[in-house]
Amino acid sequence: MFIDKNGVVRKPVVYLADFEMFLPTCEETVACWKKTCEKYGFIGLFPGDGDPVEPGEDFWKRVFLHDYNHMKNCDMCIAQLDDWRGHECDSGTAFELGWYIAKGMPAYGFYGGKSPLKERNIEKDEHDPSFDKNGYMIEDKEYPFENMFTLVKIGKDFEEACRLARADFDAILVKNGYEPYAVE
Amino acid sequence: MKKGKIYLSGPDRLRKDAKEQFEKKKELCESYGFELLEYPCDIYINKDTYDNNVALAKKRLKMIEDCDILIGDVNDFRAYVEPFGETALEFGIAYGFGKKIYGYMKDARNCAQRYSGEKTFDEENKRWTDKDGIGFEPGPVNLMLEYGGKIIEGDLEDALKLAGKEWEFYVHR
Repeated sequence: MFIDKNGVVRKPVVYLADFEMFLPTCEETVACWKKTCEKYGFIGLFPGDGDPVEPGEDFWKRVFLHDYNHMKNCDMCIAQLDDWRGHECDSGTAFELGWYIAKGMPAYGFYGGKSPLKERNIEKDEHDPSFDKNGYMIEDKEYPFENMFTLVKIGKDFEEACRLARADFDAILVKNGYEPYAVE
Repeated sequence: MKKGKIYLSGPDRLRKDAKEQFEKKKELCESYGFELLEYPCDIYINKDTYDNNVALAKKRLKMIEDCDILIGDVNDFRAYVEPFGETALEFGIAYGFGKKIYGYMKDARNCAQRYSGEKTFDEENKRWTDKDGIGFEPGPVNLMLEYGGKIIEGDLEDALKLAGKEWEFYVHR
């Protein structure tokens, strides 16, 4: 439950920004996330949900629009920011998370890897270990990502991200005279 | 003609000579008729507190809201076929604010072509996968970035050339 922009108390629809669609384990993971959403009073929406995009001309552009339409129909976002193909998060997921930030909508992330950045196994400059081998500084902060990611709260896993969102929504519910949501 | 404001996104703010590079880039942007907004040269804020980092991030968010054009460095960064995470995030922010977005990269062949490791074609999903079965994006960068902005093969100057042409068209429309 949350209070939407029209003042209606209802279950928020969560856009599951993630890179699971590239993985063979996608179906199980997404099913598990959706269950966790239910537990916290959310409705999970996976980018691949709904009618499949028809093959043909401009297929990938239509996939983009399909996902973007899903984003517009959601109330908030939880983004999977785990390491992807190296020491960075998935760029499509980060893009989607950024869109929610710009819209001023609730946005959360989760990251199960090592934090801060310097704890990660990044190849360092041999003379100055605060830089990587290509001359880019490795940030040394109590935070797993670069500066702009401090705009969102980040949990250790999907469930913690749900808990963070739940706590924020409950605080607003209570402030407006409603009961907090009873997590099953 | 209204002077377009550019927000530059990319890992260059993490370089030792970030400040000097900024001055050079500022001149370059000016030579194409643009104003470059001053991004932080992070080397000086590295050890700063979490709260100050949040304050800085909010300031940068406002900068993106105030800019006309975002230009990002989408070269691979600490990963294969993945750009700097913060730039991807900022692409999304700029898209949410309805800005014009350009990304430049040295090698804009598609992800699977750029990947030097073992790969196979997955007939079912019509995409290339790496040796662990992980699929590649069809284009040079992730779909969201490819269609959220314009990806240019080259460097900042190449992006500026295109941005300059399109800006002129856009302002005189």
